[in-house]
This record gives sequence, C-alpha cells and structure tokens, in this order.
Amino acid sequence: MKTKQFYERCQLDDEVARLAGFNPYYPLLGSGLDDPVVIANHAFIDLASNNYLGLANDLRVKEAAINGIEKYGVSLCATPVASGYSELFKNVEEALSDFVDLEETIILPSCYQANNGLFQVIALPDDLILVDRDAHSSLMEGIRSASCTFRLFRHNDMDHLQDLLNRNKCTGQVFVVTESVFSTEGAIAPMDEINTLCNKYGAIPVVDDSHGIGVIGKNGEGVLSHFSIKDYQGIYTASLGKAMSTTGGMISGKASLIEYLRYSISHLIYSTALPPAPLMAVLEVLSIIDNEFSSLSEKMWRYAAQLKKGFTNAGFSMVSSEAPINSIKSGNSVETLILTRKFHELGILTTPFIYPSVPEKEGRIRLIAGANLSDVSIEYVLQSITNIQNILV
Amino acid sequence: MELLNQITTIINRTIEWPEEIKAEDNLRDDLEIDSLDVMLIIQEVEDEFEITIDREDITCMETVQNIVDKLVQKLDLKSVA
Repeated sequence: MKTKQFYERCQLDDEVARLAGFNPYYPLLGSGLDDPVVIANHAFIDLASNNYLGLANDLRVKEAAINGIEKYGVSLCATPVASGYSELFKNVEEALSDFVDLEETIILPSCYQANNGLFQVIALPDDLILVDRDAHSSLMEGIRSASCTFRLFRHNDMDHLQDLLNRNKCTGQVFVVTESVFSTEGAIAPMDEINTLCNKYGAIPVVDDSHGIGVIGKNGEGVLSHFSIKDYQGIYTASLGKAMSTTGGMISGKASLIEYLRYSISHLIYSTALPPAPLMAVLEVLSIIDNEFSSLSEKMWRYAAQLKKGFTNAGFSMVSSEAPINSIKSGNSVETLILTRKFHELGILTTPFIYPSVPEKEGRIRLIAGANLSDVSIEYVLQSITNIQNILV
Repeated sequence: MELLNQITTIINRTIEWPEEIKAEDNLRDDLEIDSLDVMLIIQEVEDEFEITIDREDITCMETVQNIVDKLVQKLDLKSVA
C-alpha cells in the first residue's frame, strides 16, 4: 500500500502543459548548437542556450576537445584527489585563475555542485549568511545545507543589505552571497557596493559569476573586471557551461582557502574529475576570448539590442536588462507556455520560466542570442514578431 | 487590529501590493507571495518585534492571519518570560 502511495505521490503534475497544449521542456535536439539547431528534423533559431559567445560548436574548440581525448582518453576514471588530476586539469585551473585575476581555482563537475558544496564547508554554526532573495537555487540549496543561520536581502537592495549588516549580532563570520548577472532577467548585482560593504563590515563576499564570465568585463573576465574590483578578498564561483561553452564549475579565491577547499568539498572529492575534452576546450575558449572577445562581444550585444528594440516596438513588455539577455513578461504559467508554443511553431527556440521558478503571474520568456547566430537568423526573428504578437491580441 | 496593520505594512514593504491586504488573504493565491518573500516578511516581523520564528513554522503559514496569530503567540510567550 505504501509503495502504491509513493508512486502516486511521485507523478509529474503536467496540468499547465496540458492547458497550454505544449510542453517546452526537454526539447530533443538532433544537432549541436549550429545556426539553426535541429529539433525533430526541423530548423530552429536558438535563443534558448547560454552560448553567449557562440563557441560551443566552434571548429577550433571541437578540435581542442578531440586533442584532449587523444592525449588523455575520455576520462581518468577517478576523482581529482585520487588519480583524476592531470597536468591538463592543473593548467586549466591556472588559466582560469589568471583569467579572473584570482590566486587559485578548483574545478568541479558543475557550478551547481560548486555552489551546493561550498557553504557546508566554509560556514560554521555561529556564522551568518546574507543572500540576495533572487539568487540561483544552487546557492540557496547550498546555503540551506550549511549549519548556520541565513537571511535574505531584497534583490539588489544595498540599503537593506547594509541594514542587515548593521543589525547583525552574530559572533561568527558573515558571508554576503549574490549572483553577478541574474539569469532570468539580466540584472547585474552592484558588486562594487557589495564589496565595499563587505570590506567595511568584515564580511566575506561570495559571487556566482556564471552569466558574467565571458560576457561582461573589459575582455570577458567577468564581474570583478566589470566593476574594476582589485584585491578581491572573497570567493568567486562560475559555470564553464555558458559563455565558456563547455561544462564544469569553478571556485576561485585566495590560495590558502582554495587549498583548504581542495581537501574539504565533498562534491569535488567524491566526484569523478571533469574529463579531458571539456578541459582542453576551456583552454581553447580562453585563447579565442583573448584574441576575439571584442568582435564576439559586439555581435552578442548588437543582437540583444536588436531583439530588445524589435520586441519593445511591437508592444511586448520587456524586462529592463543590463546584460545581453532579453526577457519577455509573459503572464501566468499557461500564458507563458502558449506564447512559447507560438515561438516554437515559428522555429524559434526560447526558454520559458514559470512558477515556481518565478511568481505565478510573472512568467518570463528568455531570449539569448549567441554570437554564432547570423544576421539573417536575427532578421528572421524580428520579422516573426508580428506573427507572435497576433496571439496576444 | 493594530498588529494586523503592522503586518500588512511589512507585507507592503516587501511586495508593494496595490490593493488592501486583508487578514483572510492567502499569501500565495491572493497576494502572489512566494516562499522567499514569506521569509523576507518574517525576517522583518522578527526584527520589528524582536522575536524569533522557527523556520518550520514559516512553512505552515498560509494566510496573513496565520502570521498575526504566530506573532501574538510569540509576544505572549515573550511577556510571560
């Protein structure tokens, strides 16, 4: 009887998808991130992936990955602390540290694991974590798993953060946690102000730069470069699966802390090391960024501006974004999926956000145009706006 | 009534609700408040009244009145102590 109840309890509630007549999740891709991508033998303009610089299917990056496999095989079949730590792994750690201008780096299988594992290691019961209420679920879950108290500060509200720092009565260490670029809507955290407040109150800043690395900063170095923050005393995490075009997650900071984490974070110690192919690909991506960031970045921002202008002029309600992310305010969950279906019917792949990722009536459809897209593809999207708009009338 | 007004003021500070907030309003269905905003509201209540509300209690709060009731309970305990 209990078994039956368990399986009844663990059934997907797909009512929203049924009401919308469309389930946009787990689209079955039949290609890499080409322009267009292929889904069920149909061509789609990809406005869904986080392939900001468009390098995920770049020939040079693919060749680098193949070279990695040829030298090291597909896996070292061990955790880094055992025998999974190659010269290549170390080279990539050093290259990433140089790129973000921090002393040392560890690489985990994903940034989700990095954020999940970090706080239970660094925070003690007497500590306090202050976190932006819109921070990514990986940060929230990681913070919830820590032994200390945590409190939310209102999204990007520095007055509220300062108020909480002022009121703080904890005897331990305070951490201030945020994302750099908030991925649903493209807002950028005032990291310069957060860093200044942390220095003033002796707090440790922790920033997840997953949507900032390779996107913002003078040469794509991310949020610290963007705000010209020197001598950062905090902790930095980022995904290598977005603008960096591969997979994995990094934690960077002061050398002594990173050495401690190297032997402390379960998510690193007990996970098979990131395989050679993406590691080698990261090196190539860094090289391409070094040489071509300005041209790739120009395209990425130009496309974002064109989409913003096109959708705004057509009467769509767009979220104000500081990053190359466009988000359409799309209503409730069903309305959001219906609009997503319209995009889909026109061969445009987008990312819908519905409850509980966002409040029920604040659905969003996110559009990210990578630098690999052609002007023709962007023009097609712009010309399709009228057709999409018709269903809203 | 006074406590209810104080709670609705705190809720308004967090979500800027355009209409009158009533005691019987359901936090999620009527006021569209998600679990993180509930936490923000409870934090403000804790700070303003110098009490502590258990995280487990927060998950049981469904209406504005539930918050008021919990506050009354905590303030009573505080006065006894």
